[in-house]
Amino acid sequence: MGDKVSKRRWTADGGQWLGVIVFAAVAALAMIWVASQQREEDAAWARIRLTGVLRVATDASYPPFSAVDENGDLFGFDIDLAEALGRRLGARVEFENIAYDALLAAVVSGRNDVVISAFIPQLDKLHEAAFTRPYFVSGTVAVVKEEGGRKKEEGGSWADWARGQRLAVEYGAGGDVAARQWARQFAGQQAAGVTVLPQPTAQDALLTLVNGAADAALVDAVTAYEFLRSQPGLALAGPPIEPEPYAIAVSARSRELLPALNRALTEMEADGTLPDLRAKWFGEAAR
Amino acid sequence: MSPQALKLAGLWLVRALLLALVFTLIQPPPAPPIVLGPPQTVVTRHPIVCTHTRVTDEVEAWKILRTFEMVRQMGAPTITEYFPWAYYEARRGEYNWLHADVRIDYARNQGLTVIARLGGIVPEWARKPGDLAPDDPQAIHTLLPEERFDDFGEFVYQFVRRYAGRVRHIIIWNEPNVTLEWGFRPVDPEAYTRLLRLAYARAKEADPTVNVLGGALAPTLEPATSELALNDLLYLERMYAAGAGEAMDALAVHAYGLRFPPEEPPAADALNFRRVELLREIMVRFGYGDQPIYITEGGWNDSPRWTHAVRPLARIEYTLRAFQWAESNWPYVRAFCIWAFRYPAPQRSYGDYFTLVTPEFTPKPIYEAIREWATK
Repeated sequence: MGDKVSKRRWTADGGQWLGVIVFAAVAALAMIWVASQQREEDAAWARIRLTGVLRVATDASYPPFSAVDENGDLFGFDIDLAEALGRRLGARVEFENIAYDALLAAVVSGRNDVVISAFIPQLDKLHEAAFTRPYFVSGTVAVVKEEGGRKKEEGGSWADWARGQRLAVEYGAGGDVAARQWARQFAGQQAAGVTVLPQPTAQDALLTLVNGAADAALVDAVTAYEFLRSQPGLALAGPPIEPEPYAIAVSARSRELLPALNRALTEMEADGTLPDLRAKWFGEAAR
Repeated sequence: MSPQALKLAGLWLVRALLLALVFTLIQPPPAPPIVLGPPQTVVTRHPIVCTHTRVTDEVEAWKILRTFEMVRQMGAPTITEYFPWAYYEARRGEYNWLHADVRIDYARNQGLTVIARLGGIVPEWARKPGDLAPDDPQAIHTLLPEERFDDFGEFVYQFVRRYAGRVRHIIIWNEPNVTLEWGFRPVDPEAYTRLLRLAYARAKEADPTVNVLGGALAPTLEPATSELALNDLLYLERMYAAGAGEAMDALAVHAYGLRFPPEEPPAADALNFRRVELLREIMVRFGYGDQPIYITEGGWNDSPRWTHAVRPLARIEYTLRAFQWAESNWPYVRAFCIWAFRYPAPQRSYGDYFTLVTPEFTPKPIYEAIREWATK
């Protein structure tokens, strides 16, 4: 039967061939488009290979990611990451300190090759920029006591985790928004009710946990990591509640630089370079 | 064509129709129409409370209505809302007001006064300056060539005529002292004043009772030599010198506190909330002290990532104190609109930390604090 059908198809005239021709034309156009896209030169990558310089835009106002010390030198996790990437790519790194609002424009215009600056990928900018895999995940995290603190169950929801708990939060911050939402969800359920304990700062929320007045503290990841470095006996209850991934931004035209960066980040994750860098700047909990 | 070929062509046609049917079936069902309830009234102890709602790009009708319900429940009787020219006149002379009708009807149903911000995105057909092709990257969406001012005036006329009696305040353009909002051309207070005068005349022709607001300048210290913007104080002086005072019923002002508390004294070389007072001095100096001010954008940001942001606690305290400051000290200020009530989707940037409500309509603590202050 298969042979018969096949024979009829390839010997048919008129309308049958019309479909085949349309399909072939569309396929050919698609191939031409793909080929043209591939032929378009990645100017940033070509220049990096030619000059051996990787030009990095960073907003040095956000320690410990990127900041300026008393001597005017840049320091931070993002700076170390850029240097490590430069070594992998065989390039010397040149930094430019640029205001956050202008970072993306710096790579879109070709003034810089990459943005490494605790930058959250913006989906509405994909027509002009591209982003690597995340190298750090920030956002709101839950901190509990290592002994006796409730950890989030694998596959369970954060709302279930919150049932019946007293949650210390920084007033007005993301953790406060989440905790109030759960409190509304379980309102009227006495044993399952969520008690929200707003505090003036994230540090105060963490101290409320340490003092035993709360079962958990919901704070931003960077503050939590900093606190955990000096406060033994605390741990994260799970991954970030509201993850904010930080990635490297390049121009959408950087079709060769982008995979090169992704390869380098994957290698650095696998060989321990990235976990070591995270541990250096944020402590073992961030490894 | 042979009968066999005709048969095969028919077969392809049937296949195409079946495919179209499949695509039709997998489309989500149309949303049920919204039936508006009885007209609501805003209950507030502080009528100065206002917010810039930004449902311009909201697709679903129920989300528009939910936004306005939450604004009403917060105790804000006034909103600023954005009506980009290109959305309504994609082809010259052909208007589609469907989305604007929905927003204005829903807002009025919730008892809200709408301050309509007109302009911003120029239709592609009106962008072409001289021999520049419409698809030229330089022909960006904020580019309004002077030879097209009349076309914008016609849009203002059509808008005001359609919503006469329903929209009583319009703002002409937005932040014209920033090159980004002025088609990446050098900013030009005299040209903006010509646009304002023309729009004022057309608006009054359509509805003599409508209030025309000018300015809406971005607070900035950029000098006259800057390629990015021009200091708002210098810009406003040049506007008045060019005759803008006769083409406004009120001044629209943007008042951001950045990292400073609302009581921080104003200074010509500082950007803070009380910069409003410096703009007011210029109004009075040029003889327009009888005109009111509407703060159509303003507030604080609490992003942990942005240099000009404050902590969430400070944002809430500063915002409430700013309302109180404006009420107590600025009798000429009619409304203070917080930027922004909600975005339809997350921006994934510090801009998300300007809002009062998340895209999922979860109220932030600052929303609850304003509601508590305004309604209790």
